[in-house]
Amino acid sequence: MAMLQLDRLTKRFGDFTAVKDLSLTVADGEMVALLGESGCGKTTTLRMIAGFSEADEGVVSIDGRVMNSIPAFKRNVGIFFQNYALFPHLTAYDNIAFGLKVQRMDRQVIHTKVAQIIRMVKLEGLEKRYPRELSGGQQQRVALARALVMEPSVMLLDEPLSNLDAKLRVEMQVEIKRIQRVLGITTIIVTHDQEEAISLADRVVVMDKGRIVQVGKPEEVFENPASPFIADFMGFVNFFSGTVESVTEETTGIRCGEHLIEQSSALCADMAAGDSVKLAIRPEKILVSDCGGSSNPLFGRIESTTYKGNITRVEISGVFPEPLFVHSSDFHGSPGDSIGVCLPPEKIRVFKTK
Amino acid sequence: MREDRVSLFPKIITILVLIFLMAPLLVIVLASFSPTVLVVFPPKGFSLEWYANIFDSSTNFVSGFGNSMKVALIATAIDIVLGVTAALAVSRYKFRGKNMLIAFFTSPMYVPSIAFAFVLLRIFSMIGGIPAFLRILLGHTVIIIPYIIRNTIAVLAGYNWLLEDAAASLTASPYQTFMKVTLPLIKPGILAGALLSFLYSFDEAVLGSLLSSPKFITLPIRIMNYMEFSFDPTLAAISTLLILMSLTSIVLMERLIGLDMFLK
Amino acid sequence: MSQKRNLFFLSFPTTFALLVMFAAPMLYILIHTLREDGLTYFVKFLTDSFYLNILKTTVSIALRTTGILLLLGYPTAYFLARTKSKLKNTMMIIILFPFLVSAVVRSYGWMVILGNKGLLNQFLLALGLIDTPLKIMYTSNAVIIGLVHLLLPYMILSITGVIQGIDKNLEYAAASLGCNPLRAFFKVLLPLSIPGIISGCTLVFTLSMTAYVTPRLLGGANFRMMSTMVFQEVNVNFNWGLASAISYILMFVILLFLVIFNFATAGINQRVGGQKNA
Repeated sequence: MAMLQLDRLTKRFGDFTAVKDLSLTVADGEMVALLGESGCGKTTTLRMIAGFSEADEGVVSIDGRVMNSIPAFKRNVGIFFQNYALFPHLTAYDNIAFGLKVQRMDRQVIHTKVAQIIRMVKLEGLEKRYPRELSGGQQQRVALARALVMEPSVMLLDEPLSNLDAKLRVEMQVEIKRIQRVLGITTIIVTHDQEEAISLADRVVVMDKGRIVQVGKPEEVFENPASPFIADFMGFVNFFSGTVESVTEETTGIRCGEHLIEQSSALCADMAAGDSVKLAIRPEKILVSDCGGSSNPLFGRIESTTYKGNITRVEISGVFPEPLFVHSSDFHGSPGDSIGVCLPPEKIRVFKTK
Repeated sequence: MREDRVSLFPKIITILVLIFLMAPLLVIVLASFSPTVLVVFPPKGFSLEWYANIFDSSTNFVSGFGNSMKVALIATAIDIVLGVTAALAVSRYKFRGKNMLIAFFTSPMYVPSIAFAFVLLRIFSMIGGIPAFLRILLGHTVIIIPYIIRNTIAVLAGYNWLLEDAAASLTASPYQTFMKVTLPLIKPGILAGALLSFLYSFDEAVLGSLLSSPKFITLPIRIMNYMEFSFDPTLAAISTLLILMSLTSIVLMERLIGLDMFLK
Repeated sequence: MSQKRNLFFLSFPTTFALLVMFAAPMLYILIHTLREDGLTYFVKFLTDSFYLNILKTTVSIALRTTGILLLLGYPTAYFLARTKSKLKNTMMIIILFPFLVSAVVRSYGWMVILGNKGLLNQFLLALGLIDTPLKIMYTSNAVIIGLVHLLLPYMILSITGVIQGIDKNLEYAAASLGCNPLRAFFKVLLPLSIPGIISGCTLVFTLSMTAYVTPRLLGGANFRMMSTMVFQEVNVNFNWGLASAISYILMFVILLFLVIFNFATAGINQRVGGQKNA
């Protein structure tokens, strides 16, 4: 229905630049996640798209129409607020019908539209309840329905899953995705939770200090973060420093203390001997029991183990100066034992540092 | 910024309101330095004559100040004890009729001062022989109780009673707990409330009017009486001193617990 | 058991003091008045148009004052609740500061400004906007100005607290659903801030009904409200029976208005009750 374009958006608060030269195009019907820590500028960006906050520089346009000077109430941008922001003095039905009534639509039309959206978000029978009489999940559905019933050209979701418990999260995740597919609304999700971003979005935009630092498909960002910062954000957990020692067509050798780690050169673009690098690997990608002949076997000592139900978190020292964390689903070992681990090269990410 | 434009109307009203609120006070301060009896603007010079006049015995302002001070201090002191114990009772314990008791404690607030003043006047005239100081003190003790109780209840509402259990688990007796944990935490709020009540009593003019005697007159009544006969800037001078007292109080309150106490 | 004992010891002194010094006298004098004069003075008051007019003036002044206070107080409260200005604390001080200054002093300030030879008339004459001084002092307008000044802080503070408790996102939500600022105000902010409006209006209405210093000083000798009337009956006419009747009628009228007000707004209050959950 609509294409959203942000062109070199900049927003300052006094001396602080909240968003700097942010450009992004969201295709019609696409679901994009703005991912970053609090203060990275994602919420400010959302507010500029919604029209609650005016950009100091740059352009927000929807379907080619410049939105900058159009006030929020004329933009037809739907918003889902993190705290839902349901009108406490109105019933679920009146909350959802609010925008249609503002437009002075025919009562019968309003009724049809509201009934339809209530069916879609599965709120039948709760129309007459006030927000305080609804559970968190139900409130969330009302908030979603209230925005969707307006058939917005662009939908903005602010941390849509953050207030829900684990079970509801999964349920709503599926729900949001389903509804978005059905309606085909161009959607932006703002979140600090990588799981939320990856599970919902078609494309993930990672932000840091007001700038975009990586854009890609969820699996791309998840598997191949562009920097140690993003890798940390994506849950890589294990980071250690090294120096490139040798580079051939096929493999690059990286020295980390006493260990030489062999890495496929395809994964080490633009690196030369002598470069300082940072390596990262997810704790669940490190193999404990059987290295099965793969390269990079290492030995260390178990410092501690934490049983977490589906996995055991093992802290291993003596491999690198930094402790190594490993998640193993079937672990038998005690603190003090020596242990062998191997780091599959294809799971290691190498970043050049300055 | 767009979010500012929406609040332009409230902003203009706010500025006008602030000017309106400050105007008479600024005028008083300016008038107190006026060299002429009739206050004119712009002032024709500068004079401290009216300040000196405050201390002229014929104005009786000094004795009025002393009287008001005495009443306000003693009434506030009595009411801190009465008010804080009462507030503790209704905040600390759950019991039937609690809301009734709170309503009773705060009921003097809902009775017009003039009605209460008149009732006291009749009672005292029936009993006879009670000095004006005691009559006003008694009246003020009653009318400021609700303010101290309400303020203390608000302060206690922000107090974490689990701290008492924590102190008890560390072997503190209930008395020690109150003195070493509860009291230090609620003290700033109570002091701020007491300061407010003190000023209320100090400035009170209705009970003061009906219950005073020629021998014992509080400052606000002295000022009103002075106005009946002359309207010179001595009034501005004494008013300026009272304004300064209020300004000091509010700065003190802000330091003590911040100004959010007024928003409850 | 010890809890009951503590409760008793903590609440007894205040309960006792208020019973003896407040409740008993209020009741005793009411009964005394009724026993001594029966309803004579109540009837006299309610049948004499002179006295009824005083009641009417009092109510009318109180209602007008309340209305003006709401019109000035609400936007100010909104601004204070929503502003992020560094000057907010200064503004709060400016609003609270008159609150702590004696009504006598504040009325005096208005006398200097509004008098026949006051600063306002000097100013307007100097500008040539008027030829003869405006008569403001000793009119009901002066009393209303004084009362508005006296009670503005109460109104502002009552509403500011409530607006601060209303999620700003609700206003954004209304905008995103197509409400211009004015409609957002009437559809969302106003209904949600009604509890603050009610408590503020109740408070300032009561206080203007019972104000004594302001009408006495700014209204002058010929301007009568209920409270100044009590005073006059006591100190000038020595008619204590009538003073009693006026006092209790004043209390009753206030109570009546509060009850009506409560009934009129009970429904709205109930609906808005749960805003904290949103």
